[in-house]
Parts: sequence; structure tokens; C-alpha cells
Amino acid sequence: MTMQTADMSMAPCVVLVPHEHAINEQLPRLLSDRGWSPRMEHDPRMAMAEACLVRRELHIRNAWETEPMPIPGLIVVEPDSIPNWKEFRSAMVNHVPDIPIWRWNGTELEVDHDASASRLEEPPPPSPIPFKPEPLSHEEVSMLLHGPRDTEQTDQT
Amino acid sequence: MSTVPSTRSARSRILAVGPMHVLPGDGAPAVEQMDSIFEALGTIAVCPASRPVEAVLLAPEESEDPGELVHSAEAIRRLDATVQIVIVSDQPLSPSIAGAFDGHLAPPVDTSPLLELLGGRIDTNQPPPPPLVEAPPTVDTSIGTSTSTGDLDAIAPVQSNEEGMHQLGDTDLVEAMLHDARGVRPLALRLIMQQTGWTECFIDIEGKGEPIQFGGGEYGSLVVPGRTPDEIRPWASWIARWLALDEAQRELRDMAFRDELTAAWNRRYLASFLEDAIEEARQLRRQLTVMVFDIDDFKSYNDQFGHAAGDIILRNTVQLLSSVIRDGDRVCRTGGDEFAVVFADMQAPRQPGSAHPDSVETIARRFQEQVCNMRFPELGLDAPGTLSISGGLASFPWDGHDGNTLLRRADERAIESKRRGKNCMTIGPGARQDWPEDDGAAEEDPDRQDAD
Repeated sequence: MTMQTADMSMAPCVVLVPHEHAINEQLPRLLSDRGWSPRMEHDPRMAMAEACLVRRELHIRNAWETEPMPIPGLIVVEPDSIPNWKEFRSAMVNHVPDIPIWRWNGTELEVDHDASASRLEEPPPPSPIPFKPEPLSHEEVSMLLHGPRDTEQTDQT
Repeated sequence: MSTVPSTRSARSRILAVGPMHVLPGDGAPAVEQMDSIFEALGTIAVCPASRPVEAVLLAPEESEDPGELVHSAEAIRRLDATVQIVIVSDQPLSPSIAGAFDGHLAPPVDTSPLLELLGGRIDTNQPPPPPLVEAPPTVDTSIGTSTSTGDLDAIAPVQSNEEGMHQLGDTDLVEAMLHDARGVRPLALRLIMQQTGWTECFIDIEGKGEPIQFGGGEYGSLVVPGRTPDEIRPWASWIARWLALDEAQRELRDMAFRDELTAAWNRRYLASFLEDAIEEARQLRRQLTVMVFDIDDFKSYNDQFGHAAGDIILRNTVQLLSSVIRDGDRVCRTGGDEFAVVFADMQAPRQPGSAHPDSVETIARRFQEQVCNMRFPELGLDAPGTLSISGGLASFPWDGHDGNTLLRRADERAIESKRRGKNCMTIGPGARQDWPEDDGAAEEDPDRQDAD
């Protein structure tokens, strides 16, 4: 099940909670304090799909905004109870490393995967063409420094 | 179902999840084996728009219930609703499970039925269809003129089984005719091979085989290595009728959806296509932009040079615009000199910090500039900047969630552009940019103002 809020000022995040696992009130309150609106998922496949969609949604939204909204990421409750947790985490980190993964320990969020190091950046500029100096004659150096001769004459006058 | 051409571009990637053996096939794209469903989801999420994932094959693990794969299919669909999902299992599936997938194949996966499944959505798990016609089609010696009962039987071999269902392959051919960009040809050839047991069968455009002709139309020659002309001829006659029908259907569709003067799409097409494109953008959570524009003072050209000159201007405008848009975009003529362009090409999400919709802006700007540079020496309009356009752009989802709203917002911005002095494009959201003011184009080229 997905809970979506219409508040565009809130950054959507995905919360993966094992089936029949209750979460206390602290987590929603903490997320709200951070300005994150939770989308609850119980199946890791759905959670991954939703996290990727949120990532896409924020990329598009950020392209319009002057101040980009960072991706809150995926919050996992009781990861050891999540089926295929290792495969799930591995695929997340490999394919969408810019989505942070958090663990909820019952009182606070712990970083499981820090996306800051792998955040998408502008591609590096192309390497410059190798500079090959060519020998200059005295006349050319003089012209570069002072301009053509007639200019020199004008200056002198 | 809509008969409007899809916005989807040609796709070639096929992913496989779970244990399965895939038989190689000629011309078939390689099937990429994924370690887990999560790997497949990640691949779909970040695949470039130029090479998106066409299909995912899902096979259950040894002890896994095929029903468990339904959730995997749901996750894939949520991420990308256009990906086709095929379950690979030798177990019979209940209707509720089978209905969750686009197709069902038994292992090992043969690429030929797989490709057909992806193209024509044929469930190879179903029993093979009965013969296309009760007896081999009779040789038609009156090719090109006949509308006899025999011909009609061959083209519409409507046979009903006990449940009253047509299972002669004709429904698949009609489906391909309506929805497959390749038309009926590949499926018809496949059905010939299925019915005859021939292993090879193709159409030669050069004419080295049995001529495929019907109703004055020529569609090449049917070639079947190792078979006599007498054996091939009935099938050449049969496929000719389907190809003729396919061609006629395409012509009718063009007539229904195309503007005769400019060959741009018409208003009827725009309404249908725009809703489909918005729905696809909604599912993929991507943007879509509509540009509405008209030619500034078009009436004066008509009055001064005549309607024939106006027609030339309209045709050239569409031709020019068609040359600068992308594959998934559509140019529509909505009125006399009024046009709407749907920028529906589903580009990959842009990076944060970039200025959306940069690509659409670029296209629209380039188009506007090129319109200004168009020359019509035969009309006496040989000066640069003679022609100009004014328009507005509106984007989904920011400016509206349905076609009418987007068109209305774009139209309002086009009117705003006119009000601001023409030769201008106003884009959303909030008309944040007006190009001539941004780049000084209007000041640089005073002829544009003269043209107004």
C-alpha cells in the first residue's frame, strides 16, 4: 500500500516495513520534522520500485527549482525481517546509489548507505587538447607584446 | 483500444529473472540474465531512454510458487507500465495468475515465439489454432480483380468453435494490423509456416517467387525454398489479401487522422494522442509539453498573395517543424494557421540543476529561428524575418493533468505572446521566460517587427 501526500513542499520518502510490523509514533513524527512525507511499503520489490519513482520524480521536480530538494531516500524498519534484504540492498546501491538508505532502530535513523559520496554530479569537463608550444620569432614576440609596427609608431607618436 | 500509433519507441532489451534456458535465435535481442528481481528493477530504473527495457521474463525458483511472481510483475509495472512481463513456467497457471502477465511461455524459451509474443501478444501456452481455412486455399487465377466469395472466405475465415470464439489466426492478424507498427506481414508469414509446416518463408521485393498481388496492388513475391509454385501460389494469394487490407487500413487511418494539405496530424488525432501520451507520462512519471502556435499575420499573406501562397507557407512550416522534432513528438494542425506540437518523446529524467525543459525549449527556439529564416522567393517573400510565429508552451504535470487543460494553458500563453508584440514564445510555469527579451532576438532582427 502506498500513502501519498499532496503537499509538494514535503519531500517524499519510502518506508519499508515488514508485514504485520507495527511502527511507533516516533517515526512519522521524525519524518514530518525533517519535511519528509512517507510512502509505506511492505514488499521490498514494491519499495524499490517506489524509491526509484520518487528518485525520478525529484529529479524532474528539481530541474524546475532553483534550490534542488535532496532525495530523502529509503527508510527500512527491521531489515533483518525483510526477505532477500541483502540482494535488495546490493541492487539499490549498485543501480541507484544516489538514494540514501536509512535504518530505523526504534528511536532514530541510522545511515545504512550514504548517498552523498555517490550523488550524481555534472560530468567532468573534457580533457583539454595537449598544448604544444611552437617557437616564436623575435618579431612575433614583439608584435604580441606591443602590437603591429604601425601601432607601435602610433604609440610612439 | 486506441488505434492511434503508440508513443513507444523501438525497444530491444529483454531481461530474465530466475532459472531459465533461452535458445538463441536469429535477429533476436540477447536476453540479459539478472541475479534477482531487484537487479531487474534497478536496470529498468536507470536504463537510458534510447535503449529501454522491452520485456522481463520471470521464472519461479525451484521451490517457488509461480503466484509469488505476481508481486514481482506488479513492482515492474509500477516502475514502468510499458514493460511487457512474461512468465516462464512449465506449470499450468490459474487464470488469476496468468492474467497478471502479458504472456506465458514454457521452458526452454525459444526466441521466435517470444518475439511474437512481444509483438503480437500471442499466448503460446494456448493450443495451436486450427487451420486458417478449412482446406488449402484454392488457386486464384483472377488476381487483381476478384471479389468472389472464395476471396472473401480467404480474407475473413470466420470459423467458430463451440464457445463461439474465433481461433483461426484472424484475430491475431487484425490485432497486428491495428497495433503493430510492422503491420500484418511478420505474423502472416509465421502463420503460413505454422499451418504448412514449412521452415522458411519470406517475401522477396525483387519478385523472385510467387507474385503477391491483389486488387491492383503488388506486394512482392512469396518465396519458400524447396517448394513448387503450385504449393506456394495459394498462400501468396492468401497473404496478398491480408497485405491489401493492411494497406487499406493504413490509408484509412491516415485519412482519418492526417490533415490533407500539410500532412500534419489533425485535431481528432491530437485529442486522442494527447490523452494517451499524458497517461503514459503519468505512468512513467515523466514530463510532457504542448506547444501551441500560429503564424503571425497569416491572413495578410493570404490576402496579399492568394490562398495558394498561404498553402505553401503552411506546408513549409509543417515540413520545417517535422524536421526538428524528435521521434515521439507530434505536429498537429488544429486550425487554419494554428498548430499544436506535442513533445511526448519520453526522455530520461534530467539531472538536478538543469533547466527543464531544456530539450523542448531548444527545439522550439530552433524552430522559431528557422521559421524566421524561411525564404519564399516564388512568393516574393525573400527577406529574412519575413515570417514569424507566436506561441505558448504548457507542461504536464505543472500546468495541467489532462489534454484540454494543457492546450488551454498553452493557448493562453500564445495569446500572451501575441499581446507582447508577436514573434514570441511564452513558456511555463508562470511564463518565466520570454525568448525575445532573453536573447534580444527581436532587437537584433528588426525585420521581424516589420513582418508583424
